[in-house]
Amino acid sequence: MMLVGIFLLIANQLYKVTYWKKDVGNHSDSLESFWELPANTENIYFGESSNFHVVDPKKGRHSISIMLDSLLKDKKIGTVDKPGLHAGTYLAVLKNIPEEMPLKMIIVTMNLRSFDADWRYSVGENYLAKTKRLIAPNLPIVNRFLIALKDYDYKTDEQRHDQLIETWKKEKFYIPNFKYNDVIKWDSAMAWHTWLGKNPNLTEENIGLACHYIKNFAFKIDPKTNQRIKDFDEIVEIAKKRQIKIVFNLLAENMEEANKLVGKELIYLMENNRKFLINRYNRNGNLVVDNLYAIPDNHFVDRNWPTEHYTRVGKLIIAKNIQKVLISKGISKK
Amino acid sequence: MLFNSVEFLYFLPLIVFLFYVLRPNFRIYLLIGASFYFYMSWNPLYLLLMLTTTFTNFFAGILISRFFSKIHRKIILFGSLIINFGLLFYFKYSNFIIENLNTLFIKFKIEHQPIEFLDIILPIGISFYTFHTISYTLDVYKNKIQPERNVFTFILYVSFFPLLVAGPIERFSALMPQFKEKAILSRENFSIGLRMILYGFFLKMVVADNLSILVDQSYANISTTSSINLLLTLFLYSFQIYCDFNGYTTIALGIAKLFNINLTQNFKTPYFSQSLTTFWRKWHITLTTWFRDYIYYPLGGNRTTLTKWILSTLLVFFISGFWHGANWTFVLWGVLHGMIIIIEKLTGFDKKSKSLFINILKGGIVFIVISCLWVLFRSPSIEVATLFFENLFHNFRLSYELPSIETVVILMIFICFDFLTRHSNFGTWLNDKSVYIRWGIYFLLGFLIMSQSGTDMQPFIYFQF
Repeated sequence: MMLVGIFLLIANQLYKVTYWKKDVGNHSDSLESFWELPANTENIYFGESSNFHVVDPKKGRHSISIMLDSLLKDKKIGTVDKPGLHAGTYLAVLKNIPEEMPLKMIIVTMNLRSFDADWRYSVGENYLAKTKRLIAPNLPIVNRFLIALKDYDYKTDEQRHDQLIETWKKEKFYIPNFKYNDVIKWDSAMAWHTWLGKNPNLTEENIGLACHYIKNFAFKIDPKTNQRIKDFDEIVEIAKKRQIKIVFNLLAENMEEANKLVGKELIYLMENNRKFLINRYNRNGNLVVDNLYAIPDNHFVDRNWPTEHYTRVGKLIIAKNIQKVLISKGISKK
Repeated sequence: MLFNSVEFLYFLPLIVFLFYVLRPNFRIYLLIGASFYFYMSWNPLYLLLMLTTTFTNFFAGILISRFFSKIHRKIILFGSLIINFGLLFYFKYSNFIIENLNTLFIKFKIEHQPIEFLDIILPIGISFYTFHTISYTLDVYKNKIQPERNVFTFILYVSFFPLLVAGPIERFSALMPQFKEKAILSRENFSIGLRMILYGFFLKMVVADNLSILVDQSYANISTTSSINLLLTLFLYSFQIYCDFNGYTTIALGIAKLFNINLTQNFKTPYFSQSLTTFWRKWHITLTTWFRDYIYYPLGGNRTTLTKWILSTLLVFFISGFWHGANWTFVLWGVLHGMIIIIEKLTGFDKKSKSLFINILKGGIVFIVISCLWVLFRSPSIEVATLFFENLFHNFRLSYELPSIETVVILMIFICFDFLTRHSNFGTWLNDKSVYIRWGIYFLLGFLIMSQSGTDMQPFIYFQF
């Protein structure tokens, strides 16, 4: 056993100076993004593509975190962002932040869609699970070995799909005076033209989009089973221990489009989930900046899929909302 | 449960520990239980199929030994063979036959509703354990061995987990006496076993899994891959499949050694062969000897007329190809091997030269030929294999990408070890090395396995057979 211990220590040191950084770059770009920050960073914005997505990068890049950085006169904001991240990966990065870093505040993106089964069981989860495994608090070489043994939540595309369908069937919700209580039934009804002709906004062309809205937002967050809740709870715990302030940035969704295509029933569920998240996380010194309705339809970039990709103006609205809340709570100066 | 999985890293030490803690007469039940658990981790229903094969052959063996009349013995033998091959055919070849029938209907414009494919999953290791058990029944029939009367020992012979899913295809006469011997905890066996497991992991996880990334990439984009990269892929796949299969076998041999069981070495540096005839004496040895003993020799072997010999050689390689998979690519691969072996024999190419230079040259030629034939083995269809060769000679203008320096170094390390261990196996080769060399090699392999293994773990290639 002693020999194994010695071997692990030497091999780990060797690995750290040779391949560790390269592997993190290949398999865990979120941590790599953190490494780019200066050691004295006090505030970090954790985000996904909502932070940086632009339609045409040649016409210039813009991001919520950089806008916020320029809006907050007394604070410098560092950014950790990569596409498709969610609370699970923010948590993994947070666990890797050295104690010496004088971190005071983190702004954590809270994407309503990330609580939904469609995201929780998406095929992209393999990569994120691998990311989490590689940067888990272990000897780096042990993590690397465990990745080779696929010791993370690896599932084939087929298995993910089965998980998703199973969850959609299993997770029920209740909407007053509405007969559909799970995604499968509601989505099928929409796909079978149940509301075509009755809802003037629905056409054969946009029924697909209406279905996507149902698949992405028709759910009731169950704190006992929803992995995102567990992730956010753990983020809160870690921040509490390290005395870091958390500001949750509840992202804007295209509520106008959701209402137009699917109707008030979907809005009812989305608002209930918003209430739940605010009640759970807007306490103990932490804040939730509620941006759910903040951005009008014309500032959403993607037109055939519900996303949180905003125009420059849309991003600025979010940044200003965060600034406003920080100033109102005395966290930042005017 | 794969050998290269976390579950197995817990499973194996536990079973080894229990094996030596338990009283000797309980060990057999432990190994059966462990083997069943190991096999059921893929699909519990597979076990029923394996047990059907097991009991069929167990009772066939007993019945054959009870009858003296040749005709009765033959009936029992054929009954057993029909059940064994029937199951193998049903699970492995039904959809292949259906697919070909449907193609024939279209080709000959026969008005017929397409036959629907059967919804069946190929049970892991079925080709291996079927051959494993058939060899037993045939040996009993030929009076080479006495039938086993203890059903538990026989179950263990069929299901022993290190060799259950991808061989080696062991003979009853070699394995059974070892199961009956009292295993004693031996430091030497343990060392050899652990070394082989270490080396097997290196072969599979470091060499094969890293090469598979490059190979898969090229095969997924044949039309847009440059000729140079396709040429590299051609050779890299030769190393990938060898390290993958040999890696599995080496781990299996190492595991068995931990239980004091010696399994047959399945590979003896096959790529250092100067003819295809020699290659088949060194590649998947237990399968080759199976075909030799149960098909080639009964057909007359070498002691027959030239025409008969040619036909029996082609037949053996045809069956060998078909055994590998239900696809014409495997059949063509097998037949081409057979044809080249015939040409070698007729031209005298298979004879070793006295000149080292000629031998090296022949070795190079043989390696190129084998690598070209592997294209058929790797391609999902003959069309893809044809496309591969077409583009190999046409995509000169596309830019190419060389493998990383790490991949080249890993390959070099493997070639060195393969060359150095050509007269023995890795486990025993290290026996007479100094403690510094031994521990240096342990460290090197351990470090490479932990830090350089492929990150997209692939199942063992031979599991599909």
